[in-house]
Formats: sequence, C-alpha cells, structure tokens
Amino acid sequence: MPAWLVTLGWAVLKASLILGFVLFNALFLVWWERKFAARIQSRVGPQRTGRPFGYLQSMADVFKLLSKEDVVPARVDRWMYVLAPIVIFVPAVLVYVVVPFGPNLIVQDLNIGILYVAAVTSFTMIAIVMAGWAANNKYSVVSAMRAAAQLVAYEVPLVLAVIGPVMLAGTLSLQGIVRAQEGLWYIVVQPLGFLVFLTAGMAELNRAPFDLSEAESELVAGYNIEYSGMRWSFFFLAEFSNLVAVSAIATTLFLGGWQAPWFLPAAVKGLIPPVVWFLAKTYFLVTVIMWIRWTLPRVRIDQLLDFGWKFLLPVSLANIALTGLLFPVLVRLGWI
Amino acid sequence: MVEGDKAQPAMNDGTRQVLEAIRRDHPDWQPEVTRWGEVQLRVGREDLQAVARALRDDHGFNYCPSETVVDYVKEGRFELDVRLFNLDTGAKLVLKSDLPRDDATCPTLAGVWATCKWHEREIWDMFGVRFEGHPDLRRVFLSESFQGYPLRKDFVDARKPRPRLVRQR
Amino acid sequence: MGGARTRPEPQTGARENVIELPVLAEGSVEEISGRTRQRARFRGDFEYPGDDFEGPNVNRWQYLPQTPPVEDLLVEEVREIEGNEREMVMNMGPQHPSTHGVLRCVLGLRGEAITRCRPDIGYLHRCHEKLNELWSYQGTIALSDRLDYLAAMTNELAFVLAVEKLLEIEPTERADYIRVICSELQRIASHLLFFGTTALDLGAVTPFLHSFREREAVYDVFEYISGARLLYNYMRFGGVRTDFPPGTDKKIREVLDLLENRLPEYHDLLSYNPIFAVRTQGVGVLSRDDAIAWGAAGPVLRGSGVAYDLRKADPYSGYEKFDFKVCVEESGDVWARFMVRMKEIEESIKIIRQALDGLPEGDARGQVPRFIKPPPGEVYARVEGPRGELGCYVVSDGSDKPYRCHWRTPSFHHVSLLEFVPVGHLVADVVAIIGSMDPVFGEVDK
Repeated sequence: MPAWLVTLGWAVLKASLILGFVLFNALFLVWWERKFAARIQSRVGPQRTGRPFGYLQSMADVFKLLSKEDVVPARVDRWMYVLAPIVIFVPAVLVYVVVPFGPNLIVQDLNIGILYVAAVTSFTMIAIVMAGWAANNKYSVVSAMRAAAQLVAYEVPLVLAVIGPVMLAGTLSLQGIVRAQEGLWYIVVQPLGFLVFLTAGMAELNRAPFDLSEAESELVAGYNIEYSGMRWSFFFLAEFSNLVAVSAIATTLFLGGWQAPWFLPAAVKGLIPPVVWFLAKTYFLVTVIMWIRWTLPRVRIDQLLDFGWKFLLPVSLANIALTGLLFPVLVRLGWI
Repeated sequence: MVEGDKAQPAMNDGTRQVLEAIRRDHPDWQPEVTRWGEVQLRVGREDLQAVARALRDDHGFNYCPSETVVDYVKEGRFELDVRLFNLDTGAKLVLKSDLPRDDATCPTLAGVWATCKWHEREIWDMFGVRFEGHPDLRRVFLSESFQGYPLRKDFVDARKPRPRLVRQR
Repeated sequence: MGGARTRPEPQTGARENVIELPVLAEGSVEEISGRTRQRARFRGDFEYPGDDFEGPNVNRWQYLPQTPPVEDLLVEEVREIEGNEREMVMNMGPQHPSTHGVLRCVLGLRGEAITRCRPDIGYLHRCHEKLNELWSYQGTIALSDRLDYLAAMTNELAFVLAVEKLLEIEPTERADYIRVICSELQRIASHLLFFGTTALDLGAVTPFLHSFREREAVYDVFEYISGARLLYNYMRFGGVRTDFPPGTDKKIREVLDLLENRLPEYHDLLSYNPIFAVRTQGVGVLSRDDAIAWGAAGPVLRGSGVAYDLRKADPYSGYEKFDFKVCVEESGDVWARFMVRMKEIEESIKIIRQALDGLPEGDARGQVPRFIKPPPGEVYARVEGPRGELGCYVVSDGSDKPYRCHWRTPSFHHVSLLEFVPVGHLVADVVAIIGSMDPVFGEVDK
C-alpha cells in the first residue's frame, strides 16, 4: 500500500472518530443537561422517550430537527446566512485535533498545541457575528455586537490563564503538559489560573451567566433567532462540542489530563485505562459548568466587560507573576 | 348619590378637614358629601383645570387613582368622574363635570396629575371625549383606524360578521 | 447598526407568492362576502380574506390585528440624531418572551442604550367594560376573574364590594374573614409568580421553577376551597359561594409552613445573589414624586418610599382587625420593588395565620337573592390587589346589569411608567424594569 494512502486512511479514520465523538457528545449531553437541570429544578426531566430515563430523547430531537422544513427568511444575507452554521461547526470539531484523550490517543500532537486551541476557538465568534448580521434582525445584530465585545474581553484572560501551566511544564504541546503532571496536577499549584480559565471559558462558550449573546429573555434567541431545523442544530452541536472542548482543555491543563490521580497507588492506577480518567474528568467539568448555568442569573453586558477587563485580566496577570516567583520554590520542593 | 340627612356618612378625618377647608376657602364650590363619605365637587368643564390645580396644590390631593366618563345618553351628557386621594391624610374626593354629548371636549388634567395622561387616552379611545391640550391623545387599546367609540351607549358595530374559514360539514 | 445596510426593496404585488386557497363550500365565505376565491399572500403582507367588504362605515383594517402606529417611531428604521449619531428603532414585543404577555415597547436605541421607550398596548383588549354593561351582575363576577387572571380573588372582591355598597348589605363576619384569607393567599400566589418571572427575566431559570412549585401548593388550596385553580368565581354578594370545606384550615397552615421554610431558600438562591444585586440595584429608579403623580400603586409605589397600602389607608373586609406591617423600600429601583413583594409574602402569611386563628363561626353565604337589581346610584370600591389599588366604579340604573362599570387597574398605570423609566438604561435593564412592574396584560388591556 502506498504511503499516501495509509496517511489518507488514517486521516479519514481519525476525522470520522472525532466527528463521531462530537456527535455522540451532543446526543449524550443534551440528554444529560436536561436530566441534570431537571433535578436542580425539582423536576424529573424527559422520561417517556426511552423509558425509564428518557435516554432516547436526544434521538427524537435529532429526528425532529432533521424533518423540519429548511426555512430561509426572505431578506437575509443569503451567503452569510448559509455559511455561518458551517463556520461555527468546523472550529468546534477542529479543536479536538490536539486534545490528548490518552497517552497515544491523540490525532496530532502539535508542538504549539495550546496556541492552536486559542486560535481555533476564536473562530466561533466570527461565525456568531456572521449569523447575527446575516439574519437581518435587530435582535441578532445586537447579539452579534455583544458577542464581539465579549470575545475581545475574555480571549485575553483565557490565554493568559493558560500561560501558568505552560510555564510549569515548559512546553506548548498539550501532550507534554499532561505528561508533566504525572507527579502533581497543576490545579494544586495553579488554583487561580484554573478559576480564571474556567470563568473565561464559560464566557467563551456563551453559557450562563455569560450567555449574553443568546439571552433568551432579552434578545429572544440572539444570533440564531432566524435559524431553524438543521441549520439551527449546527449551532447547537457546536455549542455542546465547545462545551466539551473547553472542559477537555481545562482537564488537560489543570486536572492532569488522562493521568490518574497522583496519590493513588500504582496498582490502582493500572486498573482504569487513561481514556476513562480523561472522560470522567471532562464530564465532571461539563457538569460543573451546567450546574453554574442553571443556578445563576445573567450579568449585563457592561458588567460582563467590567468583570473581564477589570478583574479577570489583572488576576490572570498576577497569576503569571506569582507562578514565576514560585517556580524556583516549587522546583526545590520537588513538586514539579 | 348625594345624601344630606338620611344616613350619617362615614367620613374619615382627612376628608372632614378637607370639607371644612373647602367650605371655608371656596364658598362657591358647593361641596357635597356622598353616601360613602367622599367629598363631591361638581364643576363646569371650564373651571375644571383651575379647581383641579387648587385641589392638588392647596388641599394635597396628589393621587388620582381613577378618571373616567359615564355616558348618560338620554340626558345628552357625559359625566366626567375623577377620583382623588390624599396619600398623607387619607382624604377622598370626587370631581364631577358634565360634558355635553354633542360637544364632547374637556380641558385636560394631564398637566395636573401625570397619570391622567393615560386615563384620558383611555377615555378618548372608548368615549371619544377630546381632551384639549393633551400632549399625546392617541387611542390606547384600539387601533387608530378604528371607527367609533365603543363605550358610547349609541355605538353600533357596523362591521359585518367575520367570515369563517371553515369547511361546512 | 442593523438598518444601516441597504435592503432589497420589498417586492410589491409579487404574484408568485400568491397561494390560491380552494374554493370553500357553499354557505360559507362565498355567501357572506360575495367572493368566489380566497387568496392569501405569504412572505409578504398577509391579506385578510374579508378585506373587501362593502358596506357603510367599514374599514378593512378593523379586521386586522393591526399594530397602531406610534407616530413616526415605527416608520423609520434608523433615525439621524445630532450629526453622525444614529438611532436604531427596535420593537420589543408584542411577541417577546419577557414582556409578560403582549406588551410592545418601541425602543430607540443608541448602541444598546435606550433613548426612547414607547409602550404600546391593546393587543389583549377584550372590551371588558363593554361586556360588563351587557352581562348581569352575577356574570360580571365570573368575568372579573379574567381581568387580572393572576389575582382573580381580589378582582372579584373589588366588584363584590362595590355592588354590596350599592345594595347596602353587609357580608357576614365569617365571609369577611374568608375573603381576607383568599385575598392574601392570592397575593402570595401572585408574588410567587413575580419572583419566578423576575428570575427568568434576569436569566435564572431555576428559581422560576422553584417558585412555581410553591405556587402550585397555593393553587391546590384554592382548588380545594373553590373548585378552580385560576379563575375561581368564588365571591358572592353578601358572602362567598361556599363555606370552607372541612380540613381547609389544616391545608392552609401546611402551605404556610411550607412557604416559611422555602422563603429563605429563595433568598439564598436569588435575592442575595451578587449578580442579582448588581442587575437590580440602581436600575429603573422611580422617584417618589413620579410614582405618586403617575398613579403607581401597590408594590411599585411602596418601592418608591410611599407607605400607602389600602389595607391600612382605607380598610375593607375587616383588614383593620389584623396586625401587619406596610412594607416600604426607599430606593425606588428594581431591587426595592422586588424586596417589597418578598416581604409582603411574609406579611400575608402573618395575616392568614391571624385570620385562621380568629375565623368566626357562622354562615359564610349571604342571604342575597340570586337575581339582584341594585338601586340607582354609583360607587367606587377599591381593594389592594397584589399589583396595587384595584378600583371598581359601578353605576347602576336600577336594572339587572351595570349601567357602567369602570375598572381602575394598577398595571395599566405601571405600563405607562415605561415611557420614561427605562430611558438611559440598557436593553437588558428594560426587561428587568418591565418585570419589576409586574404587569398582567389581562388587566392592562381590559
């Protein structure tokens, strides 16, 4: 077999695996979010479709969305309207290229992995602005403007929060950062960085309390107000894909990725495969983000920007300085 | 319903003071006392604004819960009915004014109590009483192109019944 | 912003979009309107099938749920102000998730800041006062339920009190107590709903469902008492329709205990949440003078520092017998109006407990004939509904129907406040302000 065919074969296999993972995620997380939110709100959630826990609910949703009419409103900016769902979906999948699911379970271990993540996730906002502008709706335009402001305000602390683990591990490769956490997870020495990353990550995800660009009680549905059916479900897929992506990156950077907890004895570590550890941590973070979403009210746009620029940015800078100061101490202690 | 002798009106202290003050300051106003212990003033529409202003400024009637119109079609008049309340003393007062039906205009009270702006929009909508000097006299419930004033007693709905888009069985 | 682009001109008279509806069977449209075919255009202006009626005084627009023009504000998409500054006009409602029904606010926006706000109402107008003139007094009790459908008990009470004054009858003492209990339970239910919708307007979904859980418990009590959960038709002239069924006392006390346990939970979840505080404090400030002049009532007035509560100021149904506080907040913002309502729940619980303790024996139903013809006269009765002073002005001409019935509804005036309160705030605050006014469109649009 020629080498290019092998490469191509692997590429296709990996791509389909990632795509499968993303789709499965969406199916699972839709169900999980509904059940989880229902429990928080003292409801029972879906339970009829797929008794007894309603596990087929997301399948039913998918079939509903697939069978809906493809409506394009009359006066939209057609090209942008059609492109926006694709533009939002592609980067949501591309992030997974560098996510280390296990010691060898990674599509491509880029040596600038973390920069790649920061670059790719920013695309989401471009798609939101496209969708908001194209729909020719005032609510969606306001939503797009909010999203743009939010992106600028939160991208900076997000990247600065990442610098802490990068300094400690001495590499930009995500796999390298995970391997560096064998002795100790970085959340122990980087609690501030973790919190900043999670907060800014939630803002990037447009999850409550930062879901300003799709604030349903103010802007009806925000940027996807004129979308329906499959086009809308692309936004939905991208949202859940990004949710898992942010949790996975946070796991990788701060929770030791696929590493078992460092304090467990070696015998126990061997029992559970790394990918299970990774997924368990990721879904734990996903659940935490959902928990926050269903508890807090929404902030206002000026308060959001204040929080981003005047609080998170200084804190993340302080975190970098602190990391630099403590680095020799940590090395002497043998923690890293 | 003006009562003089039959029953003792259950006036509260504030109302009693206002009644005395009005009798003292404005002997020409001819206040009456209703069955429910309210002072009632009946004024001509040309005096309405002056009386209202005096009531607000001199007698502390700062709160106007209700302003409405009754259509006495047989007598050929509208009766404007303004309920006033003094939030500090609890005094109650009713301001009445007759408006001829064939010239249904009235000076606005929106400059006296801001809330009358919307009360009068409602009256204009429902009775077609035009309030002179009102800053924003638009219909409030019905569309501007609606014809007629539905709460007038002689209102006839000229519309034909709406066709029903249902198949006959 | 949105309108700055050039838009494609709307296609006028585009025939390709015309969908031919099938000819209907005889005896239907054809006969009535003299038309042979019905057309409806989609993706354009919807043409109502009856628009070419011929007849005197017929305006085709009468048939349409047409939006009344609000001066020039609607026609223009973007308005030039002061040189380069431009203003976007945005319609919030009548179909909007958080305008509490069918309120339409026409907002002038500069960026996201409000420069003008025009509330536009009437989308739920049901000719309520006209119906009052056509229905008998008994029927009007049931009709008044539909006014403020979240506080049906207090609506009925206002009307019943008015007619009782005309008839010169006094309800029995037990009936008075039952009325007080029902009014206060209604106030609790309404304020619980307010709590939930405020949370929802501010983006927190969970408190909404929690408050509805307790509201259901209150409605269970109402169902037990009157047989209905929302629209009770329970008050009668001279009393109430039926006495409390056995076991009501226990049921009500259970609900009160439940509420007292859950209220601190609400405060933990929402009221003292820092995000909630920054979203509400200092937002939508209504000054004391404005509140009085614009006829604000109830919690909106008390939130602006006016201690005016009809239950104290002009007691009815024996409210003077009960010991409770008038809840006042001084700051006049969304937070103040919210806290007034939350404290009122606690005061209502106190009143109900006192009323249950002192509930006298006797007949709860007045000895009033079914068919009444009040003597000619007029009366203005008012009660403190959950939203404020609910007044009912009834004129009788001696017949079995009211000659005129006017409802002074507090929400109507709270909506009028939206003309100036949101100006200078952001779009997100408009939602919070509307929520804090707690309008119910059944009574705004009448």
